[in-house]
Amino acid sequence: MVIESPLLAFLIVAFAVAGSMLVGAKLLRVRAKHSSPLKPTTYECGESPAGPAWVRFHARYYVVALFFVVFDIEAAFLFPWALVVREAGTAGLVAVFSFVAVLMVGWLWAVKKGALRWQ
Amino acid sequence: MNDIAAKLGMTGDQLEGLLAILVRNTVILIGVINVAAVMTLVERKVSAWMQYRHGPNRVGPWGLLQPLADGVKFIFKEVVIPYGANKPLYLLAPAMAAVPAMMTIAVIPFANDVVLFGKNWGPLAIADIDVGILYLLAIGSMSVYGVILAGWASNSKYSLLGGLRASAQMISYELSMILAILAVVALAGSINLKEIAALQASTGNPLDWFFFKQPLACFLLLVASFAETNRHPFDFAECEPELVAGFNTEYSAMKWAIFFIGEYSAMAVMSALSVVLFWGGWSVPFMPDAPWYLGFAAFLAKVSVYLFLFVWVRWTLPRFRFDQLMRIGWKVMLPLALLNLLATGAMLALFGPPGAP
Amino acid sequence: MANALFYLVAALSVIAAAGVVLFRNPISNVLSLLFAFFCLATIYLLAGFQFLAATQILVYAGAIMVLFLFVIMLLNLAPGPNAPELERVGLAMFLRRKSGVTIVIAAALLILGTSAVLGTHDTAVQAAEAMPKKGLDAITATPGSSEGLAGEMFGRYLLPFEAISMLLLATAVAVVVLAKRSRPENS
Repeated sequence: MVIESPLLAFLIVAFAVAGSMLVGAKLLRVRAKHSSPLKPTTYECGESPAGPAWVRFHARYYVVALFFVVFDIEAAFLFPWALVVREAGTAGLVAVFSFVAVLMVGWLWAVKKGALRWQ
Repeated sequence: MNDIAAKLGMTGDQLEGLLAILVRNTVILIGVINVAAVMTLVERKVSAWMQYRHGPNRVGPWGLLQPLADGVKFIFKEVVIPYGANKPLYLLAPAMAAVPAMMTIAVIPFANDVVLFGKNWGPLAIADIDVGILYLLAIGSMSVYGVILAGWASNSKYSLLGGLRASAQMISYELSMILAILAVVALAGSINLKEIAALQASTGNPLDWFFFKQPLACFLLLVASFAETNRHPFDFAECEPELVAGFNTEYSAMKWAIFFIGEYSAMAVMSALSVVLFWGGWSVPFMPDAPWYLGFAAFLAKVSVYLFLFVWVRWTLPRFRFDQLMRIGWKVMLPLALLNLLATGAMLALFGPPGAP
Repeated sequence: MANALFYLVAALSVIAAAGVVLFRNPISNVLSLLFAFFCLATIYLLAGFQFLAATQILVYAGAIMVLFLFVIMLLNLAPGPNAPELERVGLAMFLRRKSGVTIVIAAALLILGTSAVLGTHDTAVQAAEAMPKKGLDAITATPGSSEGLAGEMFGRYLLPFEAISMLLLATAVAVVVLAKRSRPENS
């Protein structure tokens, strides 16, 4: 049965709670009697918004995201090791240390080149 | 009871188990939503106390009904969708921000095995799964989408900048969070949160708590949880003087409130996680055989201390600059967390577990 | 039960994958892919691979899709006066443009995939039968898939494991070089 899996049961309860909230919100919704064309304008310190909102932003966000991917994969690989660190013993230790050392070379180089600096 | 079960084609025990699961789930879920509501009051009351003023005190005694009044107000406010917003994504974003926090609470063990009506109902957790920490990290990493989408879909410059900043900050500190947690995983040899808590609770000696073996990891996780939940001193997402309100500038009514329910739930989850990992979970000091309700009370007390800390820090530390935040995240937190993990691993692999559990 | 759930999730993942190429809004494409990843993770869970499922979400959904979102925002593909004219993506585009190459590649992939599935069908069925019939219970029951993975990682696959660090290093170096190149125009 589905319900015997606790996570699925939780999912069902969560959907029930969220669904009842949505139905309640639909029933209680208030509509404004008067509307103004200015009401839905976006906030820009009281002025009319100038230019498109989707501005170009700096490429450094992209750098951060890519570095995050690199180190996230590293963390994912360290996970099984952390779980069996005692059984893996010295051999596992050597393997993981060399794995991390290679990555930290990249990190050091990036720091030296200033790629992680947010100026 | 048995008659009803027979009609549904189940045995009495099955029906009982089913009802227990449903009751437990509903209680925990509603409980978490209420924690978020109560936290709005606590935040304002504690802030007021720290600034020597009264805070909310009109609605109910000691302002206790303020969250209810706020909730009613949120429900009856008009929903304004800004010009040019991407409507489906604009509506989806608050849900994406709140759902991960709500889902991660499922694996937190609130207390040891519940014994009620002369029967053992299992631990007080929605799901006692074996890969609890992995599940928590995986679902927790989804919270960044709510922020990005809210910023992007609102068609406002402040929202976009706030969303971008918040997401860059969240992913930067997520790494340190994962690595700090991994050090505890190595120590415990398990990713089941209930087992990790039980390891620390078995003797009732507070020195068994993993904080005393991993103080650095505990501190790193604390800092990372401030950043992950966009709280002071890392609240760049909603840094008022620069970005008005950040990614939720264009949100109003209940949609705005859902962001905050998500934020407070995330705070509760991070606090509960820290308590389980470092402060013994439900362990009552010097009482290894404490009944489950005492353990539950101890757990709530520890979580309350953490939640208080969140508010305390907000009014104590100044906000960092964004470049400082990035420098701390990538050049201090990340190498420290990695070193901590490797040192822990080396100690365990070479010398065996210190004070073997 | 587990079987029915598998077919449901498999169908959903195919629909989500179709959404990746058919939606016109790039952000919707990303969200479809996100949903497809979740469907895949569920399928892994149903097969009892908990660690793989969690990693699928943690790395692909949590990290790589965030990168995709950043790239899309960086390229400024959003609607607006300055946005580049977006070609209508979809089946109609392939047909209208008579892009023979695309159709040939798609057909080749389809044939390859089908033949691979048919060719390994017996093996797959045997493997599935050899696998303990746990289905959904695997989510709550068996520990050990992560431990098993660690054994393989430090045993048979030690060299590929170390090679991955080289790959990640190359990624880090590449991104630093790219970031350096993009600096002068902005600062």
